[in-house]
Amino acid sequence: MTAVGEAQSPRTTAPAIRVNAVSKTFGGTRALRDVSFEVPRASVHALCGGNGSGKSTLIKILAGVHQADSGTIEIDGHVHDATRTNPGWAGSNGLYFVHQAVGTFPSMTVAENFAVSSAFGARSLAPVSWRALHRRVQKVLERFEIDVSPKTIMAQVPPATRTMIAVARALQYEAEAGRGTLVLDEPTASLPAEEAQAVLDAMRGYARRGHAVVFVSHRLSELLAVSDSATFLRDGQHVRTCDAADLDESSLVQLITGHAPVAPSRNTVGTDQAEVRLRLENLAVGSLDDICLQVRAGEVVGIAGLLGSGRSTLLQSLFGVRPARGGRATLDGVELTANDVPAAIRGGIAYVPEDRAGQAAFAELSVRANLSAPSLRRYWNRVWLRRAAERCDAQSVIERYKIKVDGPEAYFATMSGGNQQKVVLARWLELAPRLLLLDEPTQGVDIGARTAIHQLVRQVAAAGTAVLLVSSDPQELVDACDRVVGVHSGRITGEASGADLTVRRCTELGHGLGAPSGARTPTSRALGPRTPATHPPTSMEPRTS
Amino acid sequence: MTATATDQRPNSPAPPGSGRPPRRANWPGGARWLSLGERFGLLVLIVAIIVAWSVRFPDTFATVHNWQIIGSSQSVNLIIALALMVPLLSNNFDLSVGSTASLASMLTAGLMARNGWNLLEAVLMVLVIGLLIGAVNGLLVTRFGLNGLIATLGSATVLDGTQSWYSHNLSISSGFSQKLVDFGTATVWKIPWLTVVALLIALVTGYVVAQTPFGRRLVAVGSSSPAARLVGVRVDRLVLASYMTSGGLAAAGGVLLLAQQGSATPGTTGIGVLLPALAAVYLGASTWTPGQFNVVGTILGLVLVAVIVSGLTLGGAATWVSGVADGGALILAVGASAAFRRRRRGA
Repeated sequence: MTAVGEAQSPRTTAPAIRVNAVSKTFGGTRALRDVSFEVPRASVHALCGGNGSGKSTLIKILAGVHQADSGTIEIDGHVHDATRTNPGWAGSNGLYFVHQAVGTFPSMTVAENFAVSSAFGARSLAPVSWRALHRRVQKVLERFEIDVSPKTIMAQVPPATRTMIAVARALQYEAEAGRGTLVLDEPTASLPAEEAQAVLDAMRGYARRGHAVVFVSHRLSELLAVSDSATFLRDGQHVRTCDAADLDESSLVQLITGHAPVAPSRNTVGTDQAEVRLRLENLAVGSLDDICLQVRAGEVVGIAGLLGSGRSTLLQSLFGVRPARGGRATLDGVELTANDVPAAIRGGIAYVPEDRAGQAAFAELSVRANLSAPSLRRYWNRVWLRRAAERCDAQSVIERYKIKVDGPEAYFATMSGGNQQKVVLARWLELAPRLLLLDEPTQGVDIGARTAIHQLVRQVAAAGTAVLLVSSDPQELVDACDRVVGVHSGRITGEASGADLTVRRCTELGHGLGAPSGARTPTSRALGPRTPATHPPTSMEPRTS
Repeated sequence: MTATATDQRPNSPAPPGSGRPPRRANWPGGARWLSLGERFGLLVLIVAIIVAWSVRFPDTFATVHNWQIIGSSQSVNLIIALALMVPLLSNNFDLSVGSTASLASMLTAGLMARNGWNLLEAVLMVLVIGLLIGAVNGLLVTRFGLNGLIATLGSATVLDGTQSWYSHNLSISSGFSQKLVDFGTATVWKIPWLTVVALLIALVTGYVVAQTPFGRRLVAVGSSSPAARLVGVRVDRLVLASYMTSGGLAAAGGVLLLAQQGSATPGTTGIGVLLPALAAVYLGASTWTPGQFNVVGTILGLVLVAVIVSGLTLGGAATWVSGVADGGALILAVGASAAFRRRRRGA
């Protein structure tokens, strides 16, 4: 370990970061065990692992939020004690952190967003020189090739650009080109494919300039597409560090989960003969018009579409959250009640919204209360709520869905994202819905939980439920769906199923390229060729109301 | 440890919580004593204070008479606190409860003294008015989307003004049912009837809040209103109902206030009643079921402040002490319940 400090010519050949034998214990849990790896300069390094693998702990140690129990961190050839990191230390050693969607202020201008973090040397009560600020920010934006005006309101900037602005803000004082290491924690988690691609391109750009970029993502295709090398953590232990060129999707899954990937489970029994459960006839809702779609019992139908294409609006309308403008929607031949969520639930419809934290979770209530929320009537015997039965059912759900939690009375917020999502899903599956509406069901969920969730969806479909699934991840559409329809410019533009259902095809469908793609090989390596922005700028509208 | 069976699952990505600091108290596991302390801490504190005051003032504090005073004066506060708590479960403030009670007390007296109504008519009318006040508050919040805190602060001011107008700023101390005044001082087995009635109302409120879908849905709305809507709760209707419950309870508190004081005095209640109630509700949220508003905790919160003030007053402390005690308790209580809530959220 002492030899580590004696790198010969530190400035040129030393790696940007070398993590050496870092361990960390929280209470009785070992979060990191003797983890060592290095990140070369001018490259993109992926930090991979499931929820709870220790990658967040590692990033927090680098950021100085936590201190390691032992180990060292070497930066540009200088060895630092990992037990004594602090936030100031990270900044002064050229480590910059950008967390997803955190740290930008939507109601302020781009320039103001720069100013809040630095104030450009002005004292807090000194008057702000707006002209100087705008000039200065303009320069930084140009340097980072971000095409927005400093005066633009942040909320009007596309989500991907917001991430890039956050990066530019972090790196603005790195005068010497290529100094500094950038750590991006799930920079693309909430972005649709084409926006994510812009962030990935920008990451390659930072690496070209000589920065080392460390990033965390649950999207396997982008891990493969953008990184030069990758480090895998599992249960707090270092599994492997290797070149990205040596990896493919299945070895990636193997390294993250410790198991061979499970093949996507298609519907084996043909549903062509099954009765049509959901029938949409010329439905008009939000920005969508003339939607005609049938979903049969047991069928999982995916909706590919860009942010703001109206895909979420469609699900919300079917669940009675917002009214349709015209057309008909029937479930098992019965017309859906407009704008009435309780009626939709009574009619056998279930909806898992995209924004788990904001729209599905009762964070400080128990898992039991979260599970029984839509089915309280079941436990009401007209005199009191049968708590024992409620708790017993919750315990049974926890066991059957393999939810990792300290029992039914544990608070929802104490679970990992994947387990939270399982609870939200179980809340509805226990009601045996006839129509299940899923909006981004595995967003921010690790690969293990993701597979489990897809299996659950498949099981409920096998029991006769019709499923509509919206996802901005083409891989998910391929993995989970029997059939995928594309929604673009307010209409259904195409459809893919069977052998035609590939990642490339789903990406095309999302961009409104409806014609069948012919005999192309399925590819998951990249998200297809850089797709020109064929979508109108209306795709900027917020996803949910 | 019920989760162990699933922990051994070969496919599991990681043991729970290995990537983050383990959390202390998800009872029944973990630090059991700590959670017991949280649940019953306030109760132990109350008992300790009672013992201390009883030793210090055996002839004045530890007497039936003193406890009767505490019981009857706190029974009105209890009703007001419950009125505050019900909408607060859904994360909506009703700051008008004190003013509603004050106006209700004046109206009960006035309807009998000036208009010659009998006791039953007057009480029923006042309860209906309380429900209507609650309905107006509820509609301001649900239909017109006003912030509950500000809207009810406004309606509190309007109600205080209405009371001044109705009473011409004069007390009504005679001309109304003597039965009510007698009831205010009557006891059963040495317990004031007022206290019995207040505890009965508390029992019913506690049942509704904890044992019915209505109460559980209120708590769900308080946790996340968008999520509650998406599990089929008619949020607006529910919040309106909680404000009406609040108005009705506050009016009932007003009737008891008249019975307790024997006269209706303008301008004395309003904020003066609101503050102890607020302190009690928040103290209640730091005990029994920590992090959540609850009836038992609210009663304990009231008793704590009342006992402290009673002892201090008997010890010769000045009258401003009760204000300081209420305010101090409120700040401590809000701090403690916020801390519990943060922990529940896992922050």
